Amino acid sequence: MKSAVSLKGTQEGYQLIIQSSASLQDVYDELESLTLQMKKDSHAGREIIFHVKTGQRELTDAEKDKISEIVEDDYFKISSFESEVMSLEKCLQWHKEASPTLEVRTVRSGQIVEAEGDMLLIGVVHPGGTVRATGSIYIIGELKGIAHAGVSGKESAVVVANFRYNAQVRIGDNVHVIEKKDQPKDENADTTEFVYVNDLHIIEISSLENLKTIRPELGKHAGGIYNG
Amino acid sequence: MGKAIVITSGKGGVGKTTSTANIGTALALQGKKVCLVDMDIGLRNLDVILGLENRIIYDIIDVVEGRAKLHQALIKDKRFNDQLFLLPAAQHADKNAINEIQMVDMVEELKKDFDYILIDCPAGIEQGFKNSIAAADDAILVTTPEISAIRDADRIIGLIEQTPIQAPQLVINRIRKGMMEAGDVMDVEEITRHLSIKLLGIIFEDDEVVRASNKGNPVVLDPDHPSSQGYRNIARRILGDTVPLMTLKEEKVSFWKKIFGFGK
Repeated sequence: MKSAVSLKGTQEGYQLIIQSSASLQDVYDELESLTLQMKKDSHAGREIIFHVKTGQRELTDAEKDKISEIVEDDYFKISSFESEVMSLEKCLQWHKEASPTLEVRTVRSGQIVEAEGDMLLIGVVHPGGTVRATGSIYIIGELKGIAHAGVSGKESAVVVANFRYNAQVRIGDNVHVIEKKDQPKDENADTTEFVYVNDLHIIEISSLENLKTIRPELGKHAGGIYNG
Repeated sequence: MGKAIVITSGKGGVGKTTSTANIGTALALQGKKVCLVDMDIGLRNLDVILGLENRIIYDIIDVVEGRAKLHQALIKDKRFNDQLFLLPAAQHADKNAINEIQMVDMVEELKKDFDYILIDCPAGIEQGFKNSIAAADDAILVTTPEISAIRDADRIIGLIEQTPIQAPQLVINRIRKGMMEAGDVMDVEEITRHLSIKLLGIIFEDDEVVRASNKGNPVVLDPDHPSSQGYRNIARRILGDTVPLMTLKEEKVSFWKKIFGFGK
């Protein structure tokens, strides 16, 4: 019979691999006897770090605590838990944060359009209308109302839009009022720019070619979820 | 089965009531059976413009509270044989005296007997507005070329979008040709594009509207005025006709006419 828990040494350290098909009770029992064995064998005085891999099983916090309790003592430590699966809830949350929300609509006066994560709006924000996102906001169309990026305090968020009209941009707690007294002389001039918060926490507007320099992380997926 | 159309604007004073009276009258002139419902409870005007003020016996609140039957409260406009009726608002109550459900019931009742029910919505977006749109199948949005009216109109479109009513149709009222040509105000095309809804008609500023309303005769009864023509065109478009938009060009008074009082 395949044992419920196996120990593996790698370059990064020790791995405790827990069979996802084994019952939790077996896992606890085997962990207990295994650690007992190891504690007997090990040369005392040196700290040993374990990395627990749970395979196709997602452990609850209580189960993780239980395992830590069994394994850990003065010298044995668990650095992390890793599983190949994630809960649907976490997955949806991650999906929401990682993928931009696409809105195709006119945001009229008094309307508020909100998104978790980044928002891509195709349409017009009329005066008095508001778009809000916890991440960055990208507008293809016209911004004549309010765009509020990084609503929950993410100051690295940016707002990219055609700032041809009077509008207001907020990032986190910073507010920037865009006043265009006159229309640009050249009607076709591209006035797509972006607004960001600089290192001094001052909100600034800059031309599009600087976007990659100022926010190099944009356009890359920030990576998966930290599964701990 | 009739159709209920709400006439609304958000901002006050842009001509909702005048438009209701005139579009209703124009529809009646086209042979439709029309009922006008004044929802501006507490500040009723529609009866005044139609010249029916002193003929009110029961009002909408009397109907809601069971003091009168619906047909008893309807006032017949004698200028049209059984074509145009008014359900007047109460003057002694406020907008909260009636709710959406009562309104829907009442309009459903009216739809059995009328081709068109025009609901004159009060200004604002409070209970009076909610009552007015609750029962409507369609909406007509009245605005003037002023930025404040347009802004409020935008807000109203947003609110109507959240209801089952399809996107409202636009009436641009009180257009002053000179100002629009000079670019002092947004022009018809700009307003329509900004609000991105369908244009139903335009009405030029015309002193005669006020003059006629003051006498209790909707201007539309007199076909010679441009504003009257505008309202007649709107009525025809509601009935499904294709009518070209009136032109903006200011008629030049010719040199000879100025001097001699005749000529072209």
